[in-house]
Amino acid sequence: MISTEQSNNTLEGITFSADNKKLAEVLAFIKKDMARYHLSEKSQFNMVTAAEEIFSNIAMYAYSSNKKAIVTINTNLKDNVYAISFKDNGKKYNPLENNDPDITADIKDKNIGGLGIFLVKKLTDIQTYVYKNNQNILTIGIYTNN
Amino acid sequence: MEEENKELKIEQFKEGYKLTCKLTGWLDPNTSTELVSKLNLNGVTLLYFDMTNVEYVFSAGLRAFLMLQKMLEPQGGTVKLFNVSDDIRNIFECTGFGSLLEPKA
Repeated sequence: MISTEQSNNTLEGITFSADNKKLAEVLAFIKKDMARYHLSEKSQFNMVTAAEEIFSNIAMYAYSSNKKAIVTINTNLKDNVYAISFKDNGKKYNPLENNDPDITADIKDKNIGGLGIFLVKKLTDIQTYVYKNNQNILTIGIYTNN
Repeated sequence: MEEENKELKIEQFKEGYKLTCKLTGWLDPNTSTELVSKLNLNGVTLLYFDMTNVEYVFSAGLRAFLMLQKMLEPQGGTVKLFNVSDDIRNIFECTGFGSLLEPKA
């Protein structure tokens, strides 16, 4: 299982409020982090897209209004895997358990639910979820030798 | 320094029943809602999007294009996107939305 517990940059990670207004800042942070390693343009694009899907899902669904809504992001490069983890204190939820949407449906019959997580699974090589210390921790990884 | 969320710039060119929109920016949850609300689809049967300056299309963007396609259906209209980057083309194809794209040249 991949882990970002020992991060190369910080031990605590960077915390953002779980708000879609923070999207540009979150993605800029991830892009800047990935630029330090020799990931292909396509890998970087896919990780940014997957990160957006995860962050905006947390922003929209994880918290009820009376909780301080935050997401802590850690990154790590280890054993040829670049990984990003997203930690939130919102309600316990594993998005990886969802059924995939039917992508073969004709455009007029399409159901739009679950698209974000489906993209996360298609665009990244590894996805893991744990619930630990009342926190959801979703981690995505991409092989760096692609 | 904090990054501001990118604005989506929408330039619309209407010629009869054809509406061409040149987009600049991202299609995220905020800008995608904006896109759907800013388009005037009266009498439109061909809705084209020039995606040359679009850096990312996230799932919210896919949903917006799908919604626009469904809004145009009663008036017999279609949506087509052109000049998408290879990375964005991959997003559409792996989610089964490839039919919204003009075929790759």
